[in-house]
Amino acid sequence: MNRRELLRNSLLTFGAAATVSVPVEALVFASGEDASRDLARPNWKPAFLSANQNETLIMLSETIIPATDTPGAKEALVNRFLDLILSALPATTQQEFLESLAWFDTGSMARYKVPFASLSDGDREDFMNLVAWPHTHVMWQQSEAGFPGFEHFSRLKRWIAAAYYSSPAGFKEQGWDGWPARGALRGCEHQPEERQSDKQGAKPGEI
Amino acid sequence: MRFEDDPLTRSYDAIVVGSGATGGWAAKRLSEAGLEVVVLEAGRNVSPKEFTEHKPAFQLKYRDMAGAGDWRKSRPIQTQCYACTEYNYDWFVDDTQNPYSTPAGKPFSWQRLRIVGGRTLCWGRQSYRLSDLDFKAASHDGYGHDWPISYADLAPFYDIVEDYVGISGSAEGNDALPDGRFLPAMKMTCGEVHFRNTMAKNFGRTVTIGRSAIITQVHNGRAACHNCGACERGCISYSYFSSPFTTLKDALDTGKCTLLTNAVVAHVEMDSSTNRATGVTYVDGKTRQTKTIRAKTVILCAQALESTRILLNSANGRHRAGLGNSSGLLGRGLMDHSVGAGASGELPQFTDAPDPLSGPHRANGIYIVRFRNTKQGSRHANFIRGYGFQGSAGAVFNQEAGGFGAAYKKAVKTGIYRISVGAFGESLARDDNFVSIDPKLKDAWGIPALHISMTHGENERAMHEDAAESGAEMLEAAGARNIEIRSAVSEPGMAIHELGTARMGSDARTAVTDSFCQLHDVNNVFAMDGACFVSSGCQNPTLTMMAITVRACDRLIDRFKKHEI
Repeated sequence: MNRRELLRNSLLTFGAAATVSVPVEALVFASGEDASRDLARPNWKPAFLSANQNETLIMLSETIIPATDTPGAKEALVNRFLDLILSALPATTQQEFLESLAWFDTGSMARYKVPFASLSDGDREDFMNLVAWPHTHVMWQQSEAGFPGFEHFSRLKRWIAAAYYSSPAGFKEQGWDGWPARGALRGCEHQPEERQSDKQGAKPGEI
Repeated sequence: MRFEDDPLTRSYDAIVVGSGATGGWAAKRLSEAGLEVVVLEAGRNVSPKEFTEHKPAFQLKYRDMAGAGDWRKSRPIQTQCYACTEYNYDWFVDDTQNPYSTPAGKPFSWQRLRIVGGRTLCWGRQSYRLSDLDFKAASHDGYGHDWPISYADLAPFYDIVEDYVGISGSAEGNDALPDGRFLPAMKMTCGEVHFRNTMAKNFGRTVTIGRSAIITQVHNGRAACHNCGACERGCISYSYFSSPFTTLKDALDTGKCTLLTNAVVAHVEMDSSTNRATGVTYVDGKTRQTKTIRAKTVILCAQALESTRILLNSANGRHRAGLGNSSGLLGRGLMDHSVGAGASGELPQFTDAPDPLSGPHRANGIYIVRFRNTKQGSRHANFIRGYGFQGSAGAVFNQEAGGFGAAYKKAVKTGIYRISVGAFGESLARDDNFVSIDPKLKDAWGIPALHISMTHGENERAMHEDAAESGAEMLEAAGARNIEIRSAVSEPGMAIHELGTARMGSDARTAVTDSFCQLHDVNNVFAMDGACFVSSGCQNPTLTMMAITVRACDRLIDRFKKHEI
């Protein structure tokens, strides 16, 4: 369906829509209401995070999702959204988040003697490579022990990715153009003779 | 308002309680036949201006994420429903106002809406016919009761409902899932076509596109689906079936139907001298005033458990255990499809990129038709009845990609080709799964609340173990990698397919209603919703509920014409 078809279809059903008034108690979002704009206000201050925590989060989120040819986490205000949502979540969730965030500073101090937000680009890359992948310490004749850095990284990455890919910048990164018409479903366009799975003797997984 | 126009001073031909899938059909069918109908809806009216299917998440304060939002505190049960979100939570009941109790260790998740249209505003839209494998299941395996109707009895009414609603789908010629009258089917992805072909070839199993109450072409004045994919938040083009904009609208357009909102029905009023219902008493949801409205017939379409609650709360001197409960079976035989088992994995042979967010999104999946304990197949040693799978395959953005930096960002965009299937299993009708009135609990309107006691049993557990294994077996045959399986059975209620508690049957000693949904004990009270189901099958039940309602209404219209009412 193209945009013209959507408009025509909207008109087709407009009559029914126009006859129903809005109940006063209904949850109706005002036209143009956009909570993401509120995050961009010039006088924004964190409601939950401390200034240091906020700085660490900005640096970590931009390292995980950097600006490339598209905006990164910093421009997407990932830190501001996470500050907002953390302020509304249970204390246990808040505590887990802060523990993981603190680990990055602790780990950075132990290895480089500076907080995470103050690392040089090279050291930050080095540190992230250490924590961004599953990692175990195995000592001779000792059982395997998990490396906590990966767990902290994974926890914060899930939050940061969710915040980024739900932001206006993240939506655009995933091909959102703001227009509701989506076009026709394509589906599989292969012809049967092109598909091995239609033929006798095909192996599992052959297309 | 003129005195004679006041609903409370009039006597209607029929009171319909509930405005959802079956209430809408009852109102339409009866009013179009010339009967005077009043529809009582416990919730408020709904407007298309509440629809948010095109509103991007970032415009919401909490982006519908992670349990944030004060509204969740009043809806701890409703938020278990995938469709109850920051966008539309006020369509769902406030759990603090609508309590129910459960026994210790037997949770039941009762997910429901109180608003004109009920669950049709955000239902899953999957629409499948039952077959005689379901209607005559007891004859097939010896468990429970057969329905008093066969597929041949209901088939013409399935036709009527499908012709009006518009069901997109594909005919498959599989006896376990009768074909219907379909609009053009939605298309499968490449992975789904491959999966369908592999299942047919390797196992002789039928995989079809989901049969969905989403129209794929202009139909009965409604526009074709515009593929935005978020149906549970409404639809500006009314392309999925929802009663306020279809059946109920037709009923109101006749001029024979009156809709009363915020009317919380408490009980059925009876004339003890004639043993006939005279109307219902309801509480005005806003003023808390108690009001009585009169009619020649009372038709309960309030949702299975709510209809049974009204009947139980209608106990009187002659019907001491509840209206229609001379068998002692009112409230018994509660069912809800068992869900929770399935398998998922990746299909690495497909390298398509994910569809962009502004690209077309299909609000539908694939369906694997029941293949266990069928008429032609062998009987499984560990369980009776069967299950169907719903699932999908396609490329999705991969936020779970490893690493960080520009490479991670690229990996998210490149996507991953996933496949997953989840089972819907038949829930056996057991008399020890029941609802009753909790003598100590009332809702916000002072109406006694339900006590719900249900567990899934050994049959459901064995069925789901098999479903997990067969799901993995099928994915492996399709070449899937990184397969993960789930064999757990979710708590009852999670399928949102509550059925039974006023089952139909020919014998008043073993059933609550007759085959036309009329109470055996009172000949002008009807339970026309999921309450009358004898067994659950494994198919999504709404299409069958609607067909049963149309059949029962046509019979009722005939009785009116013959002056039997």
